[in-house]
Parts: sequence; C-alpha cells; structure tokens
Amino acid sequence: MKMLSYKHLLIGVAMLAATGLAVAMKPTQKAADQGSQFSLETIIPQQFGEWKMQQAVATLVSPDVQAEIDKIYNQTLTRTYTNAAGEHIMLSIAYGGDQSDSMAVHLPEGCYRGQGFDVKRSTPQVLKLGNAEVPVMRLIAEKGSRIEPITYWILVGESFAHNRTDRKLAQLRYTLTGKVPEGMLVRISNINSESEESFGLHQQFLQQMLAGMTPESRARLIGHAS
Amino acid sequence: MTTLANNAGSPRRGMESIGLWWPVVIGALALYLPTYYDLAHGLWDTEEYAHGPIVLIVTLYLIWSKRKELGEQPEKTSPLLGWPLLVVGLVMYSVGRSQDILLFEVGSQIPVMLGVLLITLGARAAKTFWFPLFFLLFMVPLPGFIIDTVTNPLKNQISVITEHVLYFFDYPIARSGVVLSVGPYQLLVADACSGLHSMFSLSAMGLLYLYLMQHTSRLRNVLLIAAILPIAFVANVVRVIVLVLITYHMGDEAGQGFLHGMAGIMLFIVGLLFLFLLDSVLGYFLPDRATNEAKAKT
Repeated sequence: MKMLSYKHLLIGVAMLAATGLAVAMKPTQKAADQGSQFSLETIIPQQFGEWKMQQAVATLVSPDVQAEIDKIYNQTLTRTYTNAAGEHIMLSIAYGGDQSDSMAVHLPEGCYRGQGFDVKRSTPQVLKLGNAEVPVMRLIAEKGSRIEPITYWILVGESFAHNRTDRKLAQLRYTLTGKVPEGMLVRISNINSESEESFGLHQQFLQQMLAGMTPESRARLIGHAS
Repeated sequence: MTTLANNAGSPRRGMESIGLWWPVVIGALALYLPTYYDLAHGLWDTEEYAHGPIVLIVTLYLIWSKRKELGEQPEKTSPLLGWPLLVVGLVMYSVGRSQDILLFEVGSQIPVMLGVLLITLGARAAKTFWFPLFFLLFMVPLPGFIIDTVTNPLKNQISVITEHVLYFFDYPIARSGVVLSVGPYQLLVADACSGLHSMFSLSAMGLLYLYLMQHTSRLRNVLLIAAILPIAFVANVVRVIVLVLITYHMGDEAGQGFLHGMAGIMLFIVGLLFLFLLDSVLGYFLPDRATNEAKAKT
C-alpha cells in the first residue's frame, strides 16, 4: 500500500496553514472592552437645555423579551424627558459591544412592526446637530390612534450604518484591524399626530442633549462626525 | 487504464491508495475539530440548530459508506478547478473562524471538500459525493438577512391564521401585531414561533429521506420536495394553536413549561409523518419502476 503522495501531502499542509492563519487573524480585543469603561446612565445628562428627565416610570417588558435584550446588548437606557411646555420625548439607547452576526443591534422598523405597529415612511435624513452632521432615519409608527414619529441612528464602530450592507461593511472594516466592532443605537420618539412638528422637536432635543455632554461621551454616540 | 482493469479483479479493489489520505485527514481534523467543539458548546445547544450534529453524523456516514471511491485510482483529475476551490474554501474558513462568522466557517466545508475531491480523484468521483456535499448546507446557520426578511412575515401570517381559526371556534381571541390576547392571557408570538428553523431542519430530514428512498419517479420526488415547506408551515401553525389552547385551558405555566418543549418535538414528528404519508399516497399513483436486476429475475 502506498502511503505517500505529494498531492495529499500538499492539501494537508494547506489545511494546516489555514488553521494557523485563522488563529493569527483572531481579534484579541473587543473594542468595547478596550476603550475606557462608561455607563450610559451617567454619560447622558438628566437635564439639559429645556429638558428634564421624568422620574422613572416602570416600563412593562415581559421577562423573555428582557432576557433577549440582555443577551444582545451590554447596556440599555430608557428615559422620558419633559420640557416646560409639557411635551414628552422618549429616549432609548442600546449599546452592544459585539456586533458579529448573531449579536447585531435590531432595527427599530422591525421592533415596532413586531409590537403590532404599522411603520410608514422610513426616510433617511441628515441632521445638523451643533457642529456635527448626523445621518439619521425618520419613520412614523402607527397603532390604532397612537401615532409615534421616530428618529434614530445606528453607529457601528466609527460609521453610521442604517442598512444591512452598510453594517456588514462597517463590521468587516473594523475586524480587519483585529477588533470586534461595537454598536450603538440611539432612538427618540414621541406620541404626536403632527409628525413634522415632532421631527423638529426631535432635532432640537438631540441638539441640546449632545451640547450637554462631554466631547468624549458625544463621540460615543455620534462617532467623530462633524 | 490497464491498472484499472487489473484492479477490477482484485478483492481489495479501490483500497490500494486509501493510505494516501492521512495528511488530508489530519488537516481536516485540525480545521474542523475546533469548529465542531465550539458548535457543540454553542449553536447545537439551541433548539433552532439541534439538527446540526445529526447532519454531521449523516454526512460522515455517507462519506464512510463510499470510502472505496477514495481509494480508486484517479481517472482524470481537475487540479485547475480543484486548487482554486480549495484555496477559496480555506480563506473562507480562516476569515470565518477568526471573525466569528459561522456562515463562512461552517460553509467552507463544502468548497474545501469539493476542492480536495477534484484535485485527488477528479470530477467523476466528486459527483458520487454530491449528496453529502449538498447535505452539509444544512449545517450552515441561516444567514442573518434571510432570518430577518423571513421571520417577521412568517410571524405575522401565523398570528393572523391562529386568530382566525380560534375566532371561528368562538374563543375570546384578539390580535394586535404579533401579540395575541386569549381570555386573560397575552401571548407574544416570538421569533422562535415563526417556525423558520423547523422548516430548515424538516427540509434537511425530508431531503435525506428522499435520497435514501431513491424513488425512480421524478415527478414523485419533485412533488415531495415541493410539499416539505408547506407541511412545515402547517405543522408550525398547529403547534402555535395548540400552545394557545393549552395556555387558555390549563394556564400560563403549562403553556410555557415543558409542554412548550414537547410541542416543538411534536411539530417535528408530525411534519415527518405527514411527509411519509404523502409519499405512500403518491406511491399508489407513481410507483417505483422495478430495477433492472428485479426485471431480469422475472
């Protein structure tokens, strides 16, 4: 019985090389673990401009939904702010240190539909917030008489990524540098049938919120967009 | 060609060069043992991909059962096709394994195996392994974009159908989105209820069944393949309805407890039974042609 063939040997060597390559390419750090630790609770001020945080009202989230949220996101923050005119804005931020496939942030379009909302007019927009220009998505979710205009953006690593391809590219760009990218979803909404008015209010809210933050914290939310 | 003719007479036909394969076996183990180890401690533990190890074992068995082919003298190899395929597969593996992209890591098995077969034995031999190669697809986790685009419509459809069916039978049921209210209970039709993964695993088992049955009627095969997904869908609707009824009649704990897991297994068994039933019914109209050997005897 012959025991040696250069073909089979070469294949075996190529396979071992691929194994070695995989080990060498393995990113060693999650970007999230690398940067200084932070807490969404503290970097987002409780009061800024004319907005003030409402004392927390217990939100009703079923336990299994909460478990799923905890699995995907390292940190989540849900707050409601009010201003002197009695207008309410709901702020929701989700931060995940690992944006590989199974862990990617969920798009609000999908979440709202899942809760029984009808999602209309999902349009991209670029908002001028202070010195920064931030690309955002605007959409309107409707359920019965509840009409909820929403503004959100998603930051993956250093770039905004509002569709699947952008996100995949951002993720790959990041991993080529040997890091697992982090993802940040910032979403604000209010309940108001006058959507144009609401979107204006959203912009004003975001401007004041970012202005009330330290530059480092701001960079966490909008990267280095300016 | 003369060696081939000589081989045909020997009882150890095809086994002479099986010993050449040891470097490939070592290489393949180095590549994929860590992958299987991670899968066994991750993905395969989840309900959605519990069929993974079955697919692996079946594939290995199918390859083993054709191991004679691996010892054959190559007729006409295709290194020009094989080497690029192997390299692409290995790069896919390295990227996938290092970046945690299971789609690439697990999926690379197919180009790697195909490449190796083309280099060593050529296209004819590779063809005899087509089913194990194809079957490996079912080990690959569904890519996120498929899950995302399909899950929500499925959930919606299932919620709507469940609502209509139970409403027809006078149950106090209301639906908003994918949240069902039955009597005092509110049930969320979760992602797992979409049945997407049961469709995937049922497809795997259904196609394996067809491969093993070797029906001669092409129409019968086509009809059965076409029936797999609808059967999986209906079975899943039945599962969700059963769970809603359990919750309504026996309370929340029963609906979320062990009966929830039971229903998942039931779904699988019922789906397969449906398929077998359909196959035997089709057998009346499209019987298998007698094989040549059987004909010769009569």
